[in-house]
Amino acid sequence: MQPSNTYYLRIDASASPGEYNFTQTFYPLANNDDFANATPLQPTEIIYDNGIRYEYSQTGGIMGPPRSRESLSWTATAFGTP
Amino acid sequence: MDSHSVWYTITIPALAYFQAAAVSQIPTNNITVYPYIIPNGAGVTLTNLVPLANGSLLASNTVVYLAVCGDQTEFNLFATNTVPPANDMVSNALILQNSAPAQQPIMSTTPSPPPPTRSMRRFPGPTTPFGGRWTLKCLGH
Repeated sequence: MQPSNTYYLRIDASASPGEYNFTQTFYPLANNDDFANATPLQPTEIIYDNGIRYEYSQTGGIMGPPRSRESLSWTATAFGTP
Repeated sequence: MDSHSVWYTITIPALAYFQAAAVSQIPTNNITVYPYIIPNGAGVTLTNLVPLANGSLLASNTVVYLAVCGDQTEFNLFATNTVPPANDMVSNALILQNSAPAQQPIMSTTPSPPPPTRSMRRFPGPTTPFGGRWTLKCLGH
């Protein structure tokens, strides 16, 4: 889904009168979610008396099912007409 | 591939052993790092990725692709490239020499000897005027 677009949702409930809950969750995609957009990591060079080690450190996140605070959820309670 | 993944690349700066790991900041949410390389001559596509074992010795300029996969979470990703230590083999054992001078007379006019080099710092103890110990900052593999 693209930002700022308007999306229309149709709920078919003509055969099921009564209340229902509808939940939709949005979560953002990480910039490096795709292989083609892999984030390059830059090393920190550590010098030892007998050699060199390059270290990399990165904090990141994995977006997924609606369990995190980055998610935006909304819930509606409504009823359908028979 | 796991359905939830983010990607990183590392270009190996020198012939080195490679290691990578990631730690989830949510202990109950598991994540795994999968390192890959693409063979020489193959296109940079997802289907050409070849799994890479942690601890592999890689040539300079090798590009490693890291997929961090798992549950939704925040994580810390760590990786190292360890250049084979200069004394990695027994035939290249580092020789520690007690090259620091003997204790000088208090009123000696002899010029002070040069300080030990960075790699051979000497810390003589007060009760061992002709002894000493070396402190080296070394890496292992």
